[in-house]
Amino acid sequence: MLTTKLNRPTLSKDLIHRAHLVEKLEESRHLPLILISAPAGYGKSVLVSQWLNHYQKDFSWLSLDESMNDTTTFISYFIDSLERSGDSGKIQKIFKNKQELHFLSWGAIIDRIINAVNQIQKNFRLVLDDYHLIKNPDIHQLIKVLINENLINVQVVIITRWDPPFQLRELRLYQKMLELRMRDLRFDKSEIHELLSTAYDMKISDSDVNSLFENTEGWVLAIRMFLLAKSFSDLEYENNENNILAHDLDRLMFHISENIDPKFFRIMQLCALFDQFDKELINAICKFAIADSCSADTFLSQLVELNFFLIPIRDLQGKFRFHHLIGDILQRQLQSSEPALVNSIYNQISKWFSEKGLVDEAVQYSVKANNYSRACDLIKIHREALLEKGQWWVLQRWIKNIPRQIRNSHVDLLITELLICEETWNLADLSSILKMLDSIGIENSNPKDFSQYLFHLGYYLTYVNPDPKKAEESLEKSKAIFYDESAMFGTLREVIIATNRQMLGKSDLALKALDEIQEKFDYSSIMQYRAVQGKVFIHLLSGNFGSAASDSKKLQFLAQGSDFYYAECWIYYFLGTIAFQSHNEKETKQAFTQMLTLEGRLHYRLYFDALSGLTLISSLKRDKETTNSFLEQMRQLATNLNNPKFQDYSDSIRARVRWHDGQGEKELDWAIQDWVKQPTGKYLFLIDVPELTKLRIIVTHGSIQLVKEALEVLDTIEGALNEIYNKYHAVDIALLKAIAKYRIGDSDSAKKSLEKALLLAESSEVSRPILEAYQVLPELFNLINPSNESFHAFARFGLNKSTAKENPEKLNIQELTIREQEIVKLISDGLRNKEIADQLHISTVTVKSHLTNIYRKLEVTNRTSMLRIIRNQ
Amino acid sequence: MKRDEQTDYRKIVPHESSVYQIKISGKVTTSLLAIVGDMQIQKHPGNDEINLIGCFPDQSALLGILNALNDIRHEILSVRILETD
Repeated sequence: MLTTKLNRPTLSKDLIHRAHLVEKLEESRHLPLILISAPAGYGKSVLVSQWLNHYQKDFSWLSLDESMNDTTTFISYFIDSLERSGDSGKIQKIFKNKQELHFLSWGAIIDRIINAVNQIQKNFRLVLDDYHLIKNPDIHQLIKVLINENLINVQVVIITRWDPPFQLRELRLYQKMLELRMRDLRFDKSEIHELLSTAYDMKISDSDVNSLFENTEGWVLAIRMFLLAKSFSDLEYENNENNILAHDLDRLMFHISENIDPKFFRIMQLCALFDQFDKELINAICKFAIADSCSADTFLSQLVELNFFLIPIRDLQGKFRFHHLIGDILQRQLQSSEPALVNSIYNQISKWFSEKGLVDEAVQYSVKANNYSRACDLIKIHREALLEKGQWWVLQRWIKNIPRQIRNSHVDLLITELLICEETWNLADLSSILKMLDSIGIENSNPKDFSQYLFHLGYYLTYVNPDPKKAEESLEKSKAIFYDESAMFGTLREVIIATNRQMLGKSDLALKALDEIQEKFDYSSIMQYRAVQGKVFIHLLSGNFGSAASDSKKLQFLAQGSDFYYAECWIYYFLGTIAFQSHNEKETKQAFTQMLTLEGRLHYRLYFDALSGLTLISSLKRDKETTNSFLEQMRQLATNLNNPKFQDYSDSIRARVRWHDGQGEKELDWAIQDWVKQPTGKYLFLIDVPELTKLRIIVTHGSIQLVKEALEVLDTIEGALNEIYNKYHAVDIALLKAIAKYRIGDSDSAKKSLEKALLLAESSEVSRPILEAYQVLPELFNLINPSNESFHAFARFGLNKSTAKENPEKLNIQELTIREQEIVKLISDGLRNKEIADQLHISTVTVKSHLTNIYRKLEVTNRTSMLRIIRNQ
Repeated sequence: MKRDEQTDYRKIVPHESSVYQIKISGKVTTSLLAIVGDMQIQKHPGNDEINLIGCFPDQSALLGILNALNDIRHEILSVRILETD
């Protein structure tokens, strides 16, 4: 990032103070928008700078360039410029870290910025210079909101060559903006007089001033250019109406070039190729392009003496740029006369930046030179260092500037893209890039690349589309071909290999291998950390929560003082998950609340899962207020994230909370959507899996037919998860099967499933699933035989047999759902629809709809005949 | 920008406000409406041409709308300055 983008132009001494315009700006200091719209060379930036300087205004200045059309780049500069407004504490809090920018929706980002700006205590101006370079509609939207939100502490000042695509009519109509345009900015004759006498120390006749005014139409850039050209010789300026001024400037520039040292002019042209230059860069350019040229010092002092549209960059000693329009002309001339030289100098300077360690600039100028292979090499060299720091978004930005067809033929870039896909959970691209690498014959590539490809394939086959056998093969091959110990590749591979072995039922082997790694590596090494992390993965997937807890504590110890970016977040996640499973409210809240402070550091799926844990644990404690506040936080986050899947995750938690409250029935419509497809890849060790919650709702509240289908689905899932030895959800699944069997009236079978669940829960040290089921359906537990071993487990969880009345089973109306049975019972107690609705916290419409279903099932047409049938049972 | 015989740039005075007629191709969409503001929109039945008529304070304002139209992929068929009394 170039801090110079945040500086306003320095005012040089040869400028005249334009008092009437400065006053006009000052009078409009309270308006939401000042728009200064005129072609290049009308002195727009200088005028604003004069105003800010004269009245000592607080301001944030942002000089835009084309690279800022990338929203992430724009936001980084934008926030840095706001920080300079003086209230940096508030601004820094906008985003906890840069990853957030990649996951939040644009609307959410705008909201955060507006709120933060609103809290800044003092009044300031946000100056956006060269706004015409912005083409990204998202950025226009942000600026529009900033202007229209009526923030009393911020005024937006837009400096542009043409009007921004906002509807300015309303702002004009309500006098909320000041416009300064070409006609306001033109120099009049008296100002030309003043300019000539003060800055150029020239005395010229009124008729000369008149002719200068007519020829240049008050365009100050042309006036100065004209004077400059004239100072070399007697230039006959023809007044040709058909010539537009841009052509004249080219002609004037040509005239100037003929009159100064060609070597000097060449350096000027070369400098114009760069956004900004200083002595060091000039020396480098000269070294590459011009033999025995003068020194940078001499060049710069001559340039200053010549007063050649050189603009010093404020706050940074020794950095300059040309006035944009002059820079453009110089650059254009060089590009048309010697295109090969331009490319070669960009290449040389890219190398020069790279040697100085300024990789961002090095990549930028390689791309400008169309030297993509060099850009790719740079990305390859710096990839690992950036990834170790967790800064994948920098790589993402570099890669975006390289055309797709070039990326596709460049193995390194494709492999880097795979990693970015994993970080952003972009599964569609992950699978297509893997296919592409396969089709271009990755196996013939160098061992490191092929090994990394196999690593990513292994990742895909483990977490996305589980096939542990193939995954293990792929990962082992990856290790055999190329061994390394980096944080994001070699060490992570060990974790994934361990996960795979577990998924193949070889937990012992996996743990042994991890033990060996632990013995071999130092305590402070990443490999040591990864080995323990692998163990926690294995224990969680195997459903051994006790062992998972003790290894998580070890991990916490290892990570103390470690600067590994992801460590802290994973530890809180593990500790929270384990505490959640053992229904330890205090520890769950402690760990997950800590994790929430690290928002965005791990993938949002895990962050969201932590929020799920907090919601559910509060709901199980019947703390309605806290539950609702977490639900709201989750709902907001889901609408703010640009991936629609989070909406589904949030819906699922809402449904599960209602399920706890006995209102799961209201979620039936949600639950029966796409519930049969159950890919096991989604299960892993997540606190809430929407697919499973759908089944929770269906087995408890669905029609008997639905429950029967759900039971089949549960069997399939159980089988599939068993195949990959995933036991994390085993107790939940056994309980759901018990509920389903109970619902369809198969009490014996239900009892067996329940007993299995209780014993499993005790052996794997989890109590949350039991307590959750007990809260939802306490009468289920009446099935347990007090003489059975499982009853002791049940008692040890601190639970008693339900005091709930027996359901009206004897009515032999098992075709009715539990809710329907409840309604029948209340009707037989003499309650009216409204009273039933109130008692069950449902609407009368729902009661009526239940009644319709009951009449249909019992083949009756009204309440009286329904009661008669029931009483006859 | 595609020019046709109706586009006469010489008549455009860079710093004076004038009424312009901009003829573009394409359909009237919400993104178009968001840009054109208070300009009058005329749609020719049967073809994909739209006439936009509005007053602009100067060349920078005109250029602003032309660039915005270009950014949302409307081909600009002609720009004409309308004589005013």
